[in-house]
Amino acid sequence: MGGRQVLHGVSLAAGPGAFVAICGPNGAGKTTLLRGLAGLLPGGRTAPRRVAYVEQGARCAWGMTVRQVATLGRLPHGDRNDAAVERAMEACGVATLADRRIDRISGGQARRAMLARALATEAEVLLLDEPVADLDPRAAHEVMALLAAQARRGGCVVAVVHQVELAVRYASRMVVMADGRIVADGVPSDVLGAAAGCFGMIVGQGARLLPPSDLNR
Amino acid sequence: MRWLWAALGGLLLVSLLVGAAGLGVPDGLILWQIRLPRTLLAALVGAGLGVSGAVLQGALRNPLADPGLLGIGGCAAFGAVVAFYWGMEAVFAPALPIGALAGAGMGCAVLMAFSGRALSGPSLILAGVALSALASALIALALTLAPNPFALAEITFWLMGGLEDRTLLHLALAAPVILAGCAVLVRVGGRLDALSLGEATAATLGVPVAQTLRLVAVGVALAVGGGAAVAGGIGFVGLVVPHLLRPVFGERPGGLLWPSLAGGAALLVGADVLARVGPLVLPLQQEPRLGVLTALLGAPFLVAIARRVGP
Repeated sequence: MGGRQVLHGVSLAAGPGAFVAICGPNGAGKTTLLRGLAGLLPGGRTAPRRVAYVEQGARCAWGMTVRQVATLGRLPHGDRNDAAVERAMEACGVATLADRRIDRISGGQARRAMLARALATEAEVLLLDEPVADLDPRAAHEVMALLAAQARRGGCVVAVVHQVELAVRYASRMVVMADGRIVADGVPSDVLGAAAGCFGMIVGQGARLLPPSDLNR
Repeated sequence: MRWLWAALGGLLLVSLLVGAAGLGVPDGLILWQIRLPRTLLAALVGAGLGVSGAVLQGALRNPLADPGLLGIGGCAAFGAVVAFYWGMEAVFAPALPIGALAGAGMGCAVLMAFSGRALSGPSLILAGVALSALASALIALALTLAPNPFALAEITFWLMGGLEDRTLLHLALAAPVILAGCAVLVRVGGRLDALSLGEATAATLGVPVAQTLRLVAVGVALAVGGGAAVAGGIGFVGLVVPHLLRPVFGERPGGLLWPSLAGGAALLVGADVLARVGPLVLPLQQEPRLGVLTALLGAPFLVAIARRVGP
């Protein structure tokens, strides 16, 4: 972190069944928090079998097939549990693309293949940095629904999400960050106002954030 | 994969049957003292270069990575130059490969010390670039100060790479080193696959990133240093072989290690056969240098591949 303190007294606890959406302006420390949870900050320890992490804009350097990428999720277990890989690809809607090269499918499909990689680990905790950032609206809803279902099955999902209306609809909890601090934490509909506030925006219909100029209309 | 091993076997056979003494089965002395060491050395050096290229490209997620990137070949050349410099080679023939091996070993030690504890891909590349520059400077310094006026011509010739007049002694010196390097490198396959998702993601998958990169550097230093000690500077093989094999074996880095090992061996044995056939069929005074030949063959291949690579 170049010696700069990014987070100030932040702690986050979440148990099974939680789908936590982290919101906040750019530079608020969301990614740093997620990296810390993943054990990637100096002094941290990763937990490969228990915590799966998908970084922001995750990509594969080589034209591996979707199945090969998803199978990497089995690396912590040292096996090639094909059933788990198939299930993960199925859940992410990329089973039909299993033998396609990940650099020859669309960005949204590749994003879901990366998610399948994380699911294939069958980890208790999923840490996802902007999992729906470059998905079309429908795919974004599908992925958020998938993550909510994962939480309902007893998983714990922590995801950085910029689309507040998606967080409100699918997440069970919303954590709002600004300047390296958690400024609000609770049921999404309750902390929506705080989220809007730290962007300097207002809450419109359907939990959409609108610019303050809309207030005058 | 089987056809690749078969091609290598065929080329090894051809290599034993072709030489300055003409085509066909040579007499025992030529076969045992000249063709066998040369053939096996070509295969070993090529295998080391091929697998090193595949591993480095995978570990650094960079299709341009080449075993020369880590500067080990340059350090081996510096060791050889020092052996030339004091005329040790004239007194004691194996001084040259031994000097080159010592140079490669020192290069590897410097690389490890330089790269420190928090090793990442970019820091490894920078350490290698620094080491290459240092080795080039030291070679130039040794050449300008060389008391032996023929050193410059001899070392330039050696730096072009070649395998003529190599003996079983050279084989005995280089083979254990190269084989040890290859043994280290073919075992990092699964970790390379994880590294293709980036170092952070690989770490969350339980891959010890710094330790893996250190293992890669040591393996490449052994495989390339051992080769450079007996064959001089041979470029392009490590860069080209993985590119040639990706369309056939897929791009998964771990799946390219054994094919690149076999492919590198086949390519260098083939190039060495061409080098020997050259004077037999063309009006050449002597064999073209092996390193020159691999670059001549490799460059057009690379251009052809470059045209197919997408954005």
